Amino acid sequence: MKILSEEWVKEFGKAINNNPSYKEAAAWWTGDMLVHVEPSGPLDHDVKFFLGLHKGECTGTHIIKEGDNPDCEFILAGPYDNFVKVAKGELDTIQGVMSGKLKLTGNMAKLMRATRAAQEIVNSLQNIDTEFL
Amino acid sequence: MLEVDLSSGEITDIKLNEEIAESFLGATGYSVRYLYDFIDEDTDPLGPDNILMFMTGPLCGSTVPTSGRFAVSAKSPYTGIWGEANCGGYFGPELKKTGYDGIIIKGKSDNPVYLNITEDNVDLMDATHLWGKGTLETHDILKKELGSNMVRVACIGPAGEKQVKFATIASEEKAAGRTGMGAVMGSKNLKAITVRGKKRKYEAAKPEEFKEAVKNMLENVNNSFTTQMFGMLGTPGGVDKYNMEGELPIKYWTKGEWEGAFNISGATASEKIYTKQYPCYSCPIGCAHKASVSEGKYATEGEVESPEYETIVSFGSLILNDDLNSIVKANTLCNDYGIDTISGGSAIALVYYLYNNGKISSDDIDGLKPEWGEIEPALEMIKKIANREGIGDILADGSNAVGEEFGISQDEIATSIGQEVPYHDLRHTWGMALAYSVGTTRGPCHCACDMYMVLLGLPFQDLGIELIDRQSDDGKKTAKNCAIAYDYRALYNSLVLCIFSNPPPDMVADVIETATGLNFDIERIKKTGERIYTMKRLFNLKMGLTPKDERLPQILLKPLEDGGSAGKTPDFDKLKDFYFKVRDWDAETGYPSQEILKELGLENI
Repeated sequence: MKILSEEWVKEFGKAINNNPSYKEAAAWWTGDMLVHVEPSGPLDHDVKFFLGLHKGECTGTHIIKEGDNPDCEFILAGPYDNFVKVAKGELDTIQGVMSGKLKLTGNMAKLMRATRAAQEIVNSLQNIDTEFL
Repeated sequence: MLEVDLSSGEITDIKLNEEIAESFLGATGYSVRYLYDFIDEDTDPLGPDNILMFMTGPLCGSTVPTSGRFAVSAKSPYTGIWGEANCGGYFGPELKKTGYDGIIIKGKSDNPVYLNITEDNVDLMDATHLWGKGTLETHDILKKELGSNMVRVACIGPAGEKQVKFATIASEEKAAGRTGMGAVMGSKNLKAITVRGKKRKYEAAKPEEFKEAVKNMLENVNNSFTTQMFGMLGTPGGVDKYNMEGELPIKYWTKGEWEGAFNISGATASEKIYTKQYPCYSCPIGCAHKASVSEGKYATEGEVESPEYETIVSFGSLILNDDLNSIVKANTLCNDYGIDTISGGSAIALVYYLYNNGKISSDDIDGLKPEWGEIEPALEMIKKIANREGIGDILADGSNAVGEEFGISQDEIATSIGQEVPYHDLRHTWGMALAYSVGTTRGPCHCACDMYMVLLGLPFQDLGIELIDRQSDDGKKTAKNCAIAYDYRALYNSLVLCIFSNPPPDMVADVIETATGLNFDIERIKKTGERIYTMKRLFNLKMGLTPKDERLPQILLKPLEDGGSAGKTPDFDKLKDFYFKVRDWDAETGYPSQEILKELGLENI
């Protein structure tokens, strides 16, 4: 399915919930995330989507409509091309963040305890049949 | 430059050698080229013939992010090779303001003295009243005595006075920690250096362009994840991640994961003990924090310096102690006595390992019972080291001395070239095997070749760094990456910038060019770095280092049974072989080829 479509975002949530390693790594985690994909390459507009994350479960996902401003504890932002590299497993999330290709903001204490959980979210993407732009 | 002969009391202003300064840019580049001509294999590192240099770099005292550091160099009494340590705080910029770029200290004073430098006078002052005092009290007394809190101090504690081989030089609760520079200072009866300058302002060669270059660099550093992370959590910010991935040394390098890590991480420290950031001069990161412990056995008297990552490992995971408050106590003691928390802490952890494995008994160690997880024996050992009492007298000469005393195989001791390895497990990032042994400049080091950080994704691709898997089987690529990192850090540490600030190298080139007026680009960065690095190699070979010395003990190479690095270890011999080939070094002698020396302009050294 087409990346960043409403359908794909829903599937992403399901993939997270079907990943037992995520469940284990994030059993303690509370804090929703906003993912902001910035225009680059074939993407000519901003896309933002919401990931509800609570104690090892993805509680819901949706594309954020313009003007909406959901209350999220963490924001992951970066150009489309870099997100594609992450989704394809070509760019490690931590490397992406450390090299400035992606920007992650939020409570650092929580984030540094959750690097494995973050990796498992990305690993969940491998289980979606994604059609890139 | 200021030259001080402590034997004669002579104090001389000398001119900076512009040719050396240009070719070996910065603090330790200049020092190694200078010292090479005066020091040899027979020079006693703790004798009057060793020369101690305090140096700033061409960016020190400017607005460049993290440019407030200074470096101290000499022949190391600990390793017998190149000794170097740098330190943050405010001493470096203040020294610059007095009009000096550096200080060369020769000889040995008959009595304890301190060197007082202002822009008008340089005096050797009696320090008898300071001898025996800790570094914290020494700072207080000197500031009071000299009438200003703005006086900046670099001093030794009792450990330096007693020539503990890994004694530090402390400045404003920061330390030039490794390779025993404090012992060299102590051997010269030099208790402290104080500096206070007022008039000299930093002047860049191209002021407007420099301003712009600094602005760009600052913006980059401000926006980086490490700035946010280290700023909020301090250097222990990585503890949770390291524990999850098998990078954190645990139980004297024999375990790969430990639930106690959670209690001593930067995240926990930020929630429980940090009171405020305590940044060095011109630093937007502010990784250093003040801490306080309000109650219990380890309650602090007000705010103290919070322990850094390496200290957290030494007195935490390495001995299975998850009481963060007690680590604050250990840190304060080490800072005050002037003890390197890596070498001191690791030597103490070795005693825990030997005791718990039945290789030594309580009778061997003054009745102490260092059970895993118990911090009190470690605190006792810190005191004993500083005073060279009992087991402390052996520990003061380091882990290898402990091994020798009790007949322990070198393969069970986590040292290389006589010095304790720092705390990024090489079984997690295989390039660290080279950082800890082969081609080291100051013995095992996590700052001279920080592959654990570089491979996280630092923006060094323009230098030729390839972001390969940290446990890649491609030894040639690992060796090449390490060579590039070694060269770049040789320059970066010489500048003296902090390795937690990592703008892209072209930004660093812009800053150097506009500050110095020299034409600088990435190629020149690489070449200058390689020249400094190779000069240190030549110094070490002159001191008698051979490729046979560049080895690692089995305790660091044996695969772990648990954690993120379980079952994995690099093929060290292969990596070493690749590294020598990448460098074009002779396998028998360790010398760089004539071609390499010629390329770097070092053929006549």
